[in-house]
Amino acid sequence: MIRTVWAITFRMVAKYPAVLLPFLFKAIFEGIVLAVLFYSPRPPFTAVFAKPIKNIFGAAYLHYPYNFNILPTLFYYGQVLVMVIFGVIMYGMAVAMVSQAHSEGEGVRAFGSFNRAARRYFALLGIWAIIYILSFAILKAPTWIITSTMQRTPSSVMLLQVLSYAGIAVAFLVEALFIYAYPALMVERRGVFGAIARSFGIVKHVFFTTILLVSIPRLLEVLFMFVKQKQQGLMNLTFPEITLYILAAGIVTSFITDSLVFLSTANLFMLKQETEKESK
Amino acid sequence: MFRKISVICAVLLASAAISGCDSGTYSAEKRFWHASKDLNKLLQAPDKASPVEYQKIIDKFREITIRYPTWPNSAQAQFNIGQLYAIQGSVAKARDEFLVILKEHPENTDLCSRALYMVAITYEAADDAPKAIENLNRIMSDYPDTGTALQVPVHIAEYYKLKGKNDEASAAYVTAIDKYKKYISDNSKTYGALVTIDLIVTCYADQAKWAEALEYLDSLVAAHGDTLLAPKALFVAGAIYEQKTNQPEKAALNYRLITEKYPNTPFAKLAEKQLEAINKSK
Repeated sequence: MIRTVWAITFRMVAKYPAVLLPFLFKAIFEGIVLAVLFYSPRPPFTAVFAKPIKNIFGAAYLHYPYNFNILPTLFYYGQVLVMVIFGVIMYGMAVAMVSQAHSEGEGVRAFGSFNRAARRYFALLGIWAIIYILSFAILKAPTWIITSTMQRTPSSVMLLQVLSYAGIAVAFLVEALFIYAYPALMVERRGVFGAIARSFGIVKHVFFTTILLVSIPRLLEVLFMFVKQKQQGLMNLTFPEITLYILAAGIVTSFITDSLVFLSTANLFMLKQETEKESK
Repeated sequence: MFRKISVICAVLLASAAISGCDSGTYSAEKRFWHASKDLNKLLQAPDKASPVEYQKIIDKFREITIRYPTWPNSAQAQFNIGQLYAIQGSVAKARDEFLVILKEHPENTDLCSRALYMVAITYEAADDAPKAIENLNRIMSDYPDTGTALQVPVHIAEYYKLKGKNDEASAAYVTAIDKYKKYISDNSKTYGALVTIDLIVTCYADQAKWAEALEYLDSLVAAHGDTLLAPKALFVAGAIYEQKTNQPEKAALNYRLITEKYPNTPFAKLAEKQLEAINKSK
């Protein structure tokens, strides 16, 4: 089934490349944020960034090459901001475009889909916030519990590593459970909790397919996460600017994985909806 | 609308690139970091580097001094140029480069004193003793409060010793010891005084006058028992007993005294380690 869904998704992308626009816009915004943060120790950006960076991280981080040490952290906050302000609308817009692509004779309208998603901004934000908070707690809790209750020993480090990997798997599961809430919200015009319930209902029937549709592309992000963890070492081995290139590559990776995850699951949702209609 | 947004974004990014890309402190830091990285790499195997490689790094530091003359580390860049010429053996060029620091960065007294020290070294390398001594004396007169000025008296004495001028060397050691003693008594609660203990012991060590060194260290403990000078003096005396006069029991006594009387000083941990080593060797 997963092959069929991907085949439909790729055919749709080939026929309507505009469905990639939301992810492209998100990537462009993230790129702008990264560029601004990269330039933050220099004028004119210092006027805005110098004081908070100095107060939170220390004055040294306003200087080359130490600014690259905090760039990943700053960019992470920037990405969250992009998601909150703009990204959730882009996810909604993509789902709306997939729904249009499935309607006979209807073309894909980017601006109309944007408007439709923007009108449901708070609901989309609610779903994204629930997924984000749950994933954040799952990924951070093991570190917090182990570091606050156990002494640093080889076995505690190993346990932390095992729990971190398990956390990543559970985070995939959480995303898979909630993934159909976006199309339920945009296509079926449900409320936040109705959309979440609908998502759970669909996942119950296509559990493994959904898990695979979410986790296979996300594995690319996990691989990228390992590269990011080695950022400091890479910086020492090569040159500080490598951090910038790694983060830029992360934007491209997110563009690919987000497109695959959201378009394929939206397609599966549409197929499921059509099957349900036919069976009625 | 999208076109308008993209135009605005492009203009913003272009203006950021133009105004932020190569101006001010950040760019200076970036250039300096990369040049220093190349310098450190070269210094790992200076003999293997070609003159072209030296010149490339010199050019990088030179660019910093030209582009950012008022940047505080510009003086250090100038110093590195002098060092690179000195390593290559171009002493005259090196001297000229070091002297630029005195002219262009007189406010940076620490680097000025180091530059003069390097000038003196180049004269020493060229066997021009009067000029070397003249520059060393100039450090003490023009930059008396710098760390380099503190090193000069012992350096002069060691230089004479190296050249086989024993009478001059003995006189220089006496002068250096007097100077250091005065410095310690005038600045007993400073970090400089702690460093000066090492210098004064070097003066005695160069002449193998261990008994006099120990006598002076004892007097320091007696006179400055309430400062960090006392544990430091006890520790150095312990090391002399241990390594030079072959009296490990006296060394152990000193180390024990440090751990008992000055347990919260950095010397207490060092003393404990030495005590352990002495006990193991028994």
